[in-house]
Order: sequence, then structure tokens, then C-alpha cells
Amino acid sequence: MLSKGIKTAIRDYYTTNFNLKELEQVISFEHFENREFGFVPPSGRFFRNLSFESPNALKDYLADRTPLHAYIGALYDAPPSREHPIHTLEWKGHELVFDIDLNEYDSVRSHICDCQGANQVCIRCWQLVVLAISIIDETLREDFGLSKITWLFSGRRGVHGWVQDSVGFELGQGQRMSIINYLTVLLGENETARVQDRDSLKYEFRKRVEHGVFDFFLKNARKKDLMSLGFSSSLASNFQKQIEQQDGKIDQNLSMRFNKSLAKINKYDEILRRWVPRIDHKVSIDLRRLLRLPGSIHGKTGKSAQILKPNEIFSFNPENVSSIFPSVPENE
Amino acid sequence: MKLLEELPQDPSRVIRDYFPITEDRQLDRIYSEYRLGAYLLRLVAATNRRLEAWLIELEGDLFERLYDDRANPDEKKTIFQELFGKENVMEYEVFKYKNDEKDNQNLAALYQEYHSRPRSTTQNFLICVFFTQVPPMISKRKGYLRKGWVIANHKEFIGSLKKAFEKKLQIEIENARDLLGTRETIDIAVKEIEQYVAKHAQIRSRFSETDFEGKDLQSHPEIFPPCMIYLFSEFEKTGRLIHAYRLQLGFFLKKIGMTVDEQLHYWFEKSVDNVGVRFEEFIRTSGYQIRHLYGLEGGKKDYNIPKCSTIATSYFCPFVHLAPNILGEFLTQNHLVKRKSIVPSQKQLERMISLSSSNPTLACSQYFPVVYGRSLYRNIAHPMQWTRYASKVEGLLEEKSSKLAEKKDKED
Repeated sequence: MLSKGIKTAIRDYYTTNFNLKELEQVISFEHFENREFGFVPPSGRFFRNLSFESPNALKDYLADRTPLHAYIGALYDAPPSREHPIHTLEWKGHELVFDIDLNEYDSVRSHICDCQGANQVCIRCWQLVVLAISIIDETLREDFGLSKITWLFSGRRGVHGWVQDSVGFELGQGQRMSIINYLTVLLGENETARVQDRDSLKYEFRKRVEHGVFDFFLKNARKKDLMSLGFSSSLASNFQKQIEQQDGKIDQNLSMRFNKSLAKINKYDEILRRWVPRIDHKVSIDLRRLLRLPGSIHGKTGKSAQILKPNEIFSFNPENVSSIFPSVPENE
Repeated sequence: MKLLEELPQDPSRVIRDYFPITEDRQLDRIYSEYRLGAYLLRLVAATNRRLEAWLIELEGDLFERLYDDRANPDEKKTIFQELFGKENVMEYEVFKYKNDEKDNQNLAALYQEYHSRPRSTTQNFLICVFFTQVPPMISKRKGYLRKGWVIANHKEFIGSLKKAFEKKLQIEIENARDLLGTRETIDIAVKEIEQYVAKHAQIRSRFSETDFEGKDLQSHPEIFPPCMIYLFSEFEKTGRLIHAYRLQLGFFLKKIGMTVDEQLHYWFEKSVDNVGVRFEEFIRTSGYQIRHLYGLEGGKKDYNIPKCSTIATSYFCPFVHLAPNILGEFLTQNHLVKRKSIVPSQKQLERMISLSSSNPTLACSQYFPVVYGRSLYRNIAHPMQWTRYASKVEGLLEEKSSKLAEKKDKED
């Protein structure tokens, strides 16, 4: 059972801190009444097929019912309700969304940080998420011509990307799948996955991915990481020293030297395999999927799904986000 | 021709409408007759699902042929606009100017590549199509994607053009349904044509034969292609497969002769998620997917196993999806080679692994002689191709039917 303190904290948050203007930055309020919402109330049961006449009605509901989790779904031709569940309604659109979660990296995280167990997250492994954001964001803007992209902290171990452009809103399942395929560099399942042939990653996208990955890797590599790849101790120290001398900035010279050394020990693909973006495909492709409501509270951590401002993305640390709960509930 | 007058004033569009009108009277007459024929065939297709698939496939091929025959780039551009919508097609020069891409080196290289070819192939031209219209090209990263526009030689779009044409045709057939039963003369003509066409129309599906029916081939994994042997052993080992892989194996087991009941039992018995679930309950829940494979649920289609190129992008191919070291291990340790005590040489392995990243089907084709000691006269492009040849080598398929299968292959 949920403690009274947590309930009060959620109520206080939705009454005073929940900002509808922030929500409007992520979704359009047009035809708001036809949007589907879902909630997990303190009782723990999951409800969907709900809709609200206006954003204010949603805010009132959140403050009144204090749900542990709040989700938002697609737009339909009529308001979803228990009498008219979504499968009886015509789907009208859903923002193009991306879910990047550290769960997806569990098979390679041990090479990057010392986090133990699935629930842990640290600033080192968070760099995987940051790199994924940087590659996906740039690709969506440069290659797909999309511009209204907002990234949000999911409240726990990942981020959600919301694309508000009208082109993205009307995309069907096949079209969303094609975008995911375009952005996917890894083929196959976690442990056995392989990096696609370099020739199939065309033009700027290939450069973007490789440049991003090696840059991030070098910036974050510890001596033991470099040595575990097969570099000699002196070469590893040499690289580290040079990075330190350049204040963590990787210039073209250093990058080229590193790439050549990697190719020599045949670990080029291995680094890509560990660092390339891993997107949860199902979230982007499923047209009727519910995703955490921007600005809402994550019921397991008490942290809010806040918008990451473009200039804050690289310095954001999920460990520094404070929880609104008096004490975090244990493994609920 | 009298019947043509009976048709509504503005009948649904026919294939010929996508191609500009000719001045040649004789050709025009042929077109008029063709127009009637094409229109009546749409009505016939509207009465019979099987014929609908036949007509769409046939006219799709015809469309491709006619498109290829058009020599004039302007005509081709018109076809692009008709099928993708004017707002989704842009000339390369316009795109470059509009987006101020003068200094884009990738675009310059692309332009150079297409315009430095010999005169005999000057029908090449670059065209831009908005990405929402060509998902398969986005998936395979064909062409150059810039600010939402896919820029490529017009020839690269032919697959997507054909798909768009077939989609439009399907809508026309849907619309034609409303006209059935409105004029008796048309209905009689449609019925006569339907009877005639149904006798002669064959839906081509190279690998959909059921010559494996009743052969109990599921107990002979030695004839399974590498992708299926991997999924099969993985499922035996772990009792779990992700959805796409389950589908792939399910289609395959169906095609090698497993009945729907046998598959229901197979998945129920081997799956680890079924603890505490009764068989009746399993049939009601997960059974839906299995019955779907056999065309007993949902769209009720007789699904075939996807071909290798589709498997490479959407399902599981060991040569595409396994990391090189794991692939090497798989190629030397799997059931196929273990059972036959074969040890692929280091050279063979290296060759297959290096080929796997650029040409996985060729790598797979090179694996066949390693396992069975027989070379192939054509490369593997479909899992059933492997199975058919392998069952012939293993003596599981009667000589007569295998010869027939081979003949069919050659004809295709």
C-alpha cells in the first residue's frame, strides 16, 4: 500500500509544479479531447481508454487521483472511453516517438561502467544515452528534415524523444519502422548482435555514427578500458595523456591515430557494437502505444519526466534529479 | 465495344491512364480495347479474392515493363507524380536550388556518378521523392537522404513505384465492388470472364509448393537451412524466441509439412512460458498466432516463408545477425555439421565470414557444399530452396518430385 507521504507528495507536485505549458511544448493541444490517456493509480491497477475535455481537466484529475504513473497515447476520431475503447475508434495520429533505455545496453554496459544490477545508473553509462540522443537528433534533423524534436528524461533509466512535426504525426507503422531501420546500426539480438556492414551505412550517417562513437569512447575511456581492448599499457597511457592535454577535446589527429590503432587490433566493430544507439523499436512502431506523460511523476523513483533543454543534454545527470518522494519505495 | 458504352462515364482509372495519350490511331484503338479489358478484369477481381491477388501481381509486372519502355524522362516524372503525389516529388535541380545545397559534396558526387555514364544509358536521371512515400528505400538506406528527400536515380525507385501502383489498383478494385450488381449485362460478362480466368490464372509463388506434405521433415533437422537450424536449436535450448523469429520458424515448419495441430503441440510443449497453462488455454491465447500462420485467423492468407532478402532485414539470418566470432562458432558447431562430423576448413570459414557482411546469401550458398558436399547451380535466395536441395541430397524427397521442383525452379 502506498504511504500517505508519497500520496501527498504526488498531489503537491501536480497541484503546484506540473506545468501545462511544458506539456504543450511536446504535444499539440488540438483535439485534446480525443487523446487517449492511461494511469496506474495507487491501487496498482492499470487503466487506459480515458480522455479529458481540456488540459486543465487532466491537471485536476492528476491532482485529485494522485496516480503513480500517467501515460499519454494517440489521437482518435472521438474521445476514448470505457464505452468507446480505442479499438472501436479510428486512429488519427501519434507523434513520432523514440525510447532509449539503458536496459537495452545491459549486455554491453559492463565494458563501460561498474554499475551492478539492472536498476543502477551512473554518469558513465548515461553517456550511452547521451550519445544516442546526439546521433538520432542530428539524423532526424539533417536526413529526415524534422525540426520540432524534444527530449525528455523518462524519470528512471532513459529518455524519450518526441517529434512534433506534422509529417511525423501521420506516419503509419511501415513508415515508422523504416525510420527505425535507418537509425539501427546493430543487427540481431543483444549478446550476439553484429554491426552492419560499413558500406550499407551510407554517406553522412556513417560518418556521424563513427565520429560520434569514437569521440565519446575516447573521452570516456579509462586506462583499463583501453587495455582490455588489447592496447599495450604504454599506448593506453599515451592516449590518456593526450586527451588530458587537450582538455578532453578530441582533435582530428588524435581521432585518426586512435582509429588506426583500433583497426590494427581489429576492434573497430567491437567499439561500435558497444556504443551505437539502441532504440526500443516497439515503442516507436506501435501506433496505439502509451508513453509516459511529459512532466508526470515516475511512480518508482519519484522523479519527474522533465524536458531536457538542448544546452543541458550533455551535462544532464539522472542521479542529480531529486525525487519528490520522502523515501523511494523499494522495488515496487 | 458496346459494353464499353454501358460502363459508367468515368470508370475507375486503368493502367493506361498513367501513360500519356498517343497520336497513333491504331494504338489508340488497342488502348481503348485494353481499357475495357482492364476495367472488366477489375470487376472480376472484385468478385474473387484469389483473382484479385493474381490481377495485382500481373498488372504490377506489366506496369514495371511499361515504365521501363518509356524513353522520355518527362513521361517518367509524370508517372512519379501520379503515383507519389505532386507534392512528394521534386526534380533534382529544384531540390538543390531550394535547399541551397550548392556545396554539398555528397550531392555533387551523386550527380557526377549518374551523368558520367556512357551515352547508351543516358536514360538515367536523378529525382527526389519525399521519404514517407518510399519506406523500403529508407529501411535499406538506398539513395541519399537529405532534409526528408530521398535523392536517387529514377531506377532505384522502381520497386516503390510498383508498390504504389499496386496499392492504387487495390483501391480501384475495392471501388469497383460497388458497381457489381448495378447492370445485368456487365454482371453476365464478369461471370463469364471469371469462370474463364479462374481456370487459367495461376498465382506465381515459386516456393509455395507443398511437395513436403506428410514427409515428417520436422524430425530431419539435417535438411534445415542455417537460419532455421539456428532458431530451431535456440528454441529447443532456451524454450523462448522473440516474435519475429517465432513467425519465421512457424512459417518454415508449416511449409515442411507440419499440420496446425502438430505446431500447436510443438510450441506448447517446448515453450518455457507455459508453466501452469493448460493446452486449451494455450490454444485460445498463443494458438491464435499459430492458426494465423495457416490462414485460419485474421486476414486468412496462405503465408509463405519470407525470402532471404526479407529475412536479412526483418527476421533472422545467421550470416547477417551474428557477430563474426559467434558466426564462426555456429558454422562449425551446429547440428548440421556435428551430425555429419564435418569440420569446415579455416579458409572456408574465413571466406564465409568475410562474405557474410557484404553478400550473406552468397555466404550461405557457399556453406551448402561444405555441409552436403554438392555444389549448387544457383545461389540460395529462399530457405525452401536450401531445404529442397538438401532433402534431395539426403534422399528424403522422391527423385520424381525433386526433378519436378528443379524444373520449376529453372522455369522461374
